[in-house]
Amino acid sequence: MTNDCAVYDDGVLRITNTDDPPGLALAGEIDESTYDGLVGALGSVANGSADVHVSLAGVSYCDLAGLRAIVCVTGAGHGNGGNGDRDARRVVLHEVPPQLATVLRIVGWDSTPGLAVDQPPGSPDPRRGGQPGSVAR
Amino acid sequence: MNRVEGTFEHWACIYDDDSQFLEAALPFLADGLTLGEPVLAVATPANLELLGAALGERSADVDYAESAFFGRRPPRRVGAFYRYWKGGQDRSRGSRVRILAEPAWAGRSAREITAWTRMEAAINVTLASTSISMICPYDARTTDAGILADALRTHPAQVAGSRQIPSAQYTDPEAFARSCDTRPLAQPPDGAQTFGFDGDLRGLRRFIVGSADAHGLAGDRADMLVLAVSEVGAYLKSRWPASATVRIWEQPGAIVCDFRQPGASISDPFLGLRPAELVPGDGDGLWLANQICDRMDIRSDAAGCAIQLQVPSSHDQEMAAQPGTRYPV
Repeated sequence: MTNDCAVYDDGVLRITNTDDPPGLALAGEIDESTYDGLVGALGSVANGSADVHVSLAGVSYCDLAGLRAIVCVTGAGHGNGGNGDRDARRVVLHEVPPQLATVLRIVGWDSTPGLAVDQPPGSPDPRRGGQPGSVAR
Repeated sequence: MNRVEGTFEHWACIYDDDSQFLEAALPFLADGLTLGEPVLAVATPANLELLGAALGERSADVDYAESAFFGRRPPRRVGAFYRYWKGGQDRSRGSRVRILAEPAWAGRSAREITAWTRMEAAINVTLASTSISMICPYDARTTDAGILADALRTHPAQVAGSRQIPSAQYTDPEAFARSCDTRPLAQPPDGAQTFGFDGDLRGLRRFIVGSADAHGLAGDRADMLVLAVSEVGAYLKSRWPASATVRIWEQPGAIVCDFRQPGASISDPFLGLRPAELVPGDGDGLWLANQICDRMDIRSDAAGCAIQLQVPSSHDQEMAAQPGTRYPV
């Protein structure tokens, strides 16, 4: 559920806060022109003790640098690709568009410690092991 | 995290018969199993059968894949190795990872042979920071002498049985890669769709969406082409004031997208061949483009630099029958 107040909106990328679960919902295109806005919004939710939830349902394009910023929002990947601390809070990606799920798999970031990808009910990706509706680690 | 850094090991094994293959491959794999290391065998079906029979019960602990299907293009093979290594690091807390990696040569065009041989040289650099130990078997019964000669140039050492023999012919990977890049790129035909890229990445993506549609690419095939092309545009823009001419056309078996950036020069022969990490690196986006496309060729000359991407055309029936099969491996 989102509230109406956008934390960033430049007409290309719109970012709103979500309350339940707490995090951000992204819509639009993410590339170098919207990167700073993305990083700023991610910074506003990066500090805290709870998992960070990011809905990507409305993302029509996201480049690799933007995807990296999202995956690393809670500090995953600092050091050399994840420090393996499984007690750290996670970033949970919701409603990942198929092409971004493919990109995560191609670059191998889908197995980043501290990253979870929420599998929407009824559309399990057969190339992943998670159960429908589960949060696969 | 304590990763073993900078210890990529890369041997060629040129064998004349089954027993020579097994004398090198079997101890390599079995020693890895004894040490508890992740072990992957990528080989022909015939050699996988030989290994299975020789390993007996232990074969259940060996991951395997057929050579022809584990990364159908060189960058994807490297990507598959890299992901296997990363997965192995996660499972076994930083141990070495062993990979038997037999290339498949039968039926390849001269251009493809060059691309695969170039990859053998490149991984000495691009996988240098991994803790992979790799033996690449070459079957002398079925492989051209020229390919076997190049194997000695692209591997620092050979194995024969359990013996390791430094290769006197080993060639600096950068010099070797440059020597592979002499074939001219395809010239854009008259009538290719053209876009003047001045740094407007959104405009570039709209152009590619339209072109993909005109060439019959839809769904994830169009999305992935857009992603690859946009990453190339972003790279050029990050390095030079963007003023590239982008052309797209169809040739037998491929959609080709060609960037020409006047005044630019790319000197790194391994640009786009280093795996993208969560820590940013130069050319990360081109690694992704390389994983998506069938080919990415880069050339520089007095006029500027050219980056040419190829993806399968809409007439590719493998993609039509099994959507997504080309990604990511």
